[in-house]
Amino acid sequence: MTRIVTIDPVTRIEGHAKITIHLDRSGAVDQAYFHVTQFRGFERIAQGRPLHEMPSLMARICGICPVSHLVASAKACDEILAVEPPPAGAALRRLMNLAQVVQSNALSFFHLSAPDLLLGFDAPPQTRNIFGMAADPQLPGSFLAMDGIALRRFGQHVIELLGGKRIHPAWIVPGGVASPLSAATREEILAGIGEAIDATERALDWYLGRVAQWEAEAAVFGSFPSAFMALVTPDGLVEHYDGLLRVLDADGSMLADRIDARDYRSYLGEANESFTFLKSVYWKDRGYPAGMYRVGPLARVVVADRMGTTRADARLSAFRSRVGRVPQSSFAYHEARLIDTLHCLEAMTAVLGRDDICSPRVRAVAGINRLEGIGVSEAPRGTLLHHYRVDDDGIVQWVNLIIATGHNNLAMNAAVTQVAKAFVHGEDIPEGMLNRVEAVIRCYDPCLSCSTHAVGRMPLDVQLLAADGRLLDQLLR
Amino acid sequence: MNVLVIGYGNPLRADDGLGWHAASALARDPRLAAAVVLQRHQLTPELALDVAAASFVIFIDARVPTAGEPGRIQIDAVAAAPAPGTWTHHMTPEALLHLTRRLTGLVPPAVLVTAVAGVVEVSDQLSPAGRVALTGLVETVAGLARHRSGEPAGGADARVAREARR
Repeated sequence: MTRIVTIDPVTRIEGHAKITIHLDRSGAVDQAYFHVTQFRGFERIAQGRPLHEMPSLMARICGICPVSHLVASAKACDEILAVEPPPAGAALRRLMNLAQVVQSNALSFFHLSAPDLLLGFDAPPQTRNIFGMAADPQLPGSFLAMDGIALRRFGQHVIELLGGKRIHPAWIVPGGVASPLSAATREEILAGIGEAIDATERALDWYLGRVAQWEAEAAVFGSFPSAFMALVTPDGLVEHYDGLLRVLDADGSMLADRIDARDYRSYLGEANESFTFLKSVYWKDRGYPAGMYRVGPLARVVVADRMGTTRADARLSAFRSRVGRVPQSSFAYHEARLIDTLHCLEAMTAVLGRDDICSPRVRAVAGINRLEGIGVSEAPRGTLLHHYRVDDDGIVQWVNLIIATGHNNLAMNAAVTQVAKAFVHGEDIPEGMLNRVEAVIRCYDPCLSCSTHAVGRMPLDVQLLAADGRLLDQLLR
Repeated sequence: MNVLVIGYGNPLRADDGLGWHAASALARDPRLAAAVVLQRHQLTPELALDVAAASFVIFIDARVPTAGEPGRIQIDAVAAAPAPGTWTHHMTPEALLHLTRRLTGLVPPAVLVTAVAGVVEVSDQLSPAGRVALTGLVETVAGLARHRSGEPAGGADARVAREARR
């Protein structure tokens, strides 16, 4: 008899989802599916809107990483206006995007995943959160909680200093940014970077001191060969704002390099499945679903030759010595996320050190000069693409969005299947299995709607269903 | 005396945004020039660091319409307390103080100033009762902040220390 186990909702992710685990007649796991059960429809909502509204409108896709949508959207608008932002304007966009990666990575590692790592995957869900981490000031969780809160606050504060508010700042605009950077703001941001770097380094040291104890999880947490994709600079360094796409295969060979994001449709296919509203993006040459690849912080540190900043490069070297150039386990996302954060903080220092960073020339102005534009950036969770078509009046006619979680959809489904196969045996539904299936999804830090994320909410409804739909077993939490 | 004012709420849900609007007004009010005023949609863990740096905290929020006559203003002392059960976006002032104490060992005295909302439907405008309540909230909080700012040194600090020892 075929049976289905359902985990609904999946918690401590951004958005709403559920997981179903399908058992075969012998009770062994056959397949698991990650269902995104919400529908947003921004590609249709935007149709008929004036182009200049797009960055602010698209930022509403997400409450966690609105800046990445602002950046990708504004870059698509730049192309339609046929303008290039002044150097200071582009640098300030880059600065805000780096700050956003810092705050979002801090949320993912410290707030969402660290409770599992610190308190154990089998700890009671009521305490497996940032309150539980801070329970005893003498335990390492207290400094982790404090560092995570401080790091996220720093990233949000930088966004607020630049854009006037921490969420959905309307500061990144077509052609550049809305206002220049003052010398006082520059100094205030610089003053906070040192402590933020220290907090990230402490977390990395803590993680590396304990990584051996998670070997069992790492072996089945989405551990499989796949390609990785991210933006790199023309010199092959990590890039978050601009750059070219690079795809590294599972064996470390170059699958593709120096791809202009404008050509994304030549390389990336988009597939839809009936069980989810999240489309699956795949590498066209390999077809669907064989063309699975991963994006995000792990992809960024995998595909780049180097990070390009001193501290992050030292950490990357140690990372590669330990797990190789192309690690298989998605558990490596955690360490990669911290290295990525460290790089962003160092890169912020470099951006703020530019001679022209306080230049008053931060925006180019133009009318509609093209009818199509594509913008790309690295969001915290991976490569983000915005593609617009407009009419002669600049009214949006068509929109296509590829968000990081879409790139990772095939990998996430493979990962939950792998975890389920490792932990589900027979008709019992072990609590530890539920925690681990959810935890593997958190490795990818999926951004399902971003505006409806549930932090630390732990109600679970797991159902064991017979093929005819009868409820055989149920676990409520 | 470092007074921290945190006004929070959703300005797209009419009077639910009373605390948010009050913070906006108080941030420009010269009577609170010495205070730190934060305007937020909701309470979040990051605010624990701001709370830890304050010697007195004033939270401003709206109450649900069923809590009484629209516009009625209420002041309640707030004590640190764990979040009941699970923890979500709905962080309470008590839970924020609790987290602050867990992280820093200190928690300042705090009050919650609320006004009963008249309407909490989708709207970016306050209701007539909400507009009246907003004026009352601003005056109430300004009075509290002025009173606390003028308090002799050591008064509130002593309370902070006492709270920390509990």
